Amino acid sequence: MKSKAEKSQFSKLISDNGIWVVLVVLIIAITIVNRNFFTPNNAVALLTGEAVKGVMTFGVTLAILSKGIDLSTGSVAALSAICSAALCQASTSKLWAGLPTMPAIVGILGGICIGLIVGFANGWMVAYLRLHPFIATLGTQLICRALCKLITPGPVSKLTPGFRFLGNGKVGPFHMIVIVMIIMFIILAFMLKMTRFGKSVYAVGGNDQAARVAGINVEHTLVKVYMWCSFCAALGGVLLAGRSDSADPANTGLNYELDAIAAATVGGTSQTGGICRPSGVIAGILIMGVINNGMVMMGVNDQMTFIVKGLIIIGSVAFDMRKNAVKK
Amino acid sequence: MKKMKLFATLAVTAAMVLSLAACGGGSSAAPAASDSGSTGGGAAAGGEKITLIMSQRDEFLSSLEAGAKKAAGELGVNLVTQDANQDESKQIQYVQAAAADGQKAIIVNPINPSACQSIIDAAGDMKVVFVNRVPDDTSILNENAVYVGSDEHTSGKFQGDFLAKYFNDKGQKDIKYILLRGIEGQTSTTLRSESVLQALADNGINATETYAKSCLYDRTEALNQMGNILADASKEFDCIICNNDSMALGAIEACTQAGKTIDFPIVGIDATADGRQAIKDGTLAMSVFQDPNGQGGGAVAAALNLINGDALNANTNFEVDETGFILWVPFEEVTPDNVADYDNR
Repeated sequence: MKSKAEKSQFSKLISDNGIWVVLVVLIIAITIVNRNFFTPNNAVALLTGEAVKGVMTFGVTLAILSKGIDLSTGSVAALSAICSAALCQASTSKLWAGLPTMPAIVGILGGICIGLIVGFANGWMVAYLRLHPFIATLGTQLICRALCKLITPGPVSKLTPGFRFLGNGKVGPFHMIVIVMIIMFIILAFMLKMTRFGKSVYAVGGNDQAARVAGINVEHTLVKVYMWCSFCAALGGVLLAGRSDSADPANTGLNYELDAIAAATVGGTSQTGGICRPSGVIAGILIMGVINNGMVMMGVNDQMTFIVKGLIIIGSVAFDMRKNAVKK
Repeated sequence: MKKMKLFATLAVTAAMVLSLAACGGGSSAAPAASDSGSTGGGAAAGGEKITLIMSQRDEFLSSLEAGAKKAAGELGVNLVTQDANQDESKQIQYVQAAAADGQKAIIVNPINPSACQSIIDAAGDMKVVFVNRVPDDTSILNENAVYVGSDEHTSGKFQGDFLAKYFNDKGQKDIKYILLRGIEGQTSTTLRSESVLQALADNGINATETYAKSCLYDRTEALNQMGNILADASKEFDCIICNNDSMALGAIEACTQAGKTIDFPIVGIDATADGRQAIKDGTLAMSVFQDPNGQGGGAVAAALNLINGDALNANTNFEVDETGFILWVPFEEVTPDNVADYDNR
């Protein structure tokens, strides 16, 4: 009898952390094909490459948890990247010619402020105008991308080393961009597990009427959710600009919102709201990264990356739905 | 709650009215399709009105648009531009709107070079000038429909000839390359990739592909993918060929971040400001200049020439091909030797 109880506990552990199992299997499979995959060098390439999308995923996770969505994050990242980069251009041919080169902190805060403003607008429209989040954030997505192209037709580049530090710098052997991702993850996990706000988001996403009855201010919670989401996106934009030494109005952050939503979803964040495990989200991000990087390592055709990604998104959601249905 | 709703409704209505009013100045001239209209600077109100329909507004095409507006100002043309945002049906819609407006000529930067006949059909009696992207079937061109732009078959050729000379001088016949491709399915990606490999083969170089990857013409994507490629020591290569400068710059950044010395050629196309700087810094071996002002200005001049019945290349410095319906704006090779010449073009 004891062994049966142990077995069911083990199977519960596996089913709760199925996503980590998938990740480990993927890593082993790719390593068998190409041993260079499992090296410190490649781990650095993978993590630094995925850090920006990771940070943006931490944002959209909260929106999905509240039974919403945020489609504007890619454009917000671009707008933040362009404005912050323009404030911290080192070169002689600047976008804003008259402007002196600002200290890095001004550029970074400038970009983040833009994010908070857009986030507030998104949250206000969702909470008070009762717009469907899909529509509200689709609107801001278009507006932010157009603003980028109005501000500059071409890339804003040659940025100051101070500004680039977050995206490109190193502390000892550790890359700053990865450290930022880890810090943002800790904040997300702490917020969800330890704070009143985190519990409120779970409650609002699970059943907003019940949350209201329980005395939660649903509107305030939603505004904060979308501000956090855009904050993460804007920070992602600052990292992107720093990492590539350039911010491009047409390409920067293009379709990143979809990658972020995919990673959060693969990580077990349910589109029906109220269900999310922070550890799952980080696994979702790593899976997307392992696929991106692993397909290059295995040297397979480019388009296979998208096919595999598509299958994993569909498969993981199908698996989660069954699991959650059993719970209910 | 009721007050709140009323306030919200008012706020949204006000925002809509304001945003429409803000666009009003430029777009009142373009009927039915006025959402992204803007008029050319300095044109006399009485000048010939011509619509320029952009496939999208990326860095190069924005420069082309600026070149067209500048030329329009000089030639007294009232130029209206519309951005079809990569949507073919929207492009046709803009053509029809210009026809309904009674314009005599239209300039189109086609989204799909294999579907140019549909644009000519939609244009009706209007003269059509295709710019930047050459129609797949040039036999559809005639005295009422012409092309102004560069020949994408030659852009990659400059890269290939440069690399062939580099490796022939080294006495190396067998090379391995990494190819960073633009957006799959776009003509420029296909032609640039084909022509560089063709030129290598024509010059007796046996080139083997180590890895080819689409990086969407984007710097960050190239940085990420090149980082992945560099992390795999088994992927050896002698050069990195990029379909544009942005991706070349991403590849350079990836090498820098991975601590890899750039002692092999990296080649790009476009000769953007950042690309030219990299050539001066010695990190980018060469690029290929595509003349946005020449293409934009040439297209406006050609449209006006068609309306007035003048020679196609009147008021331009460019040559007409043997059919008489194509105005070639040549590509030019940019190397450390001549890069300074391109700073003010």
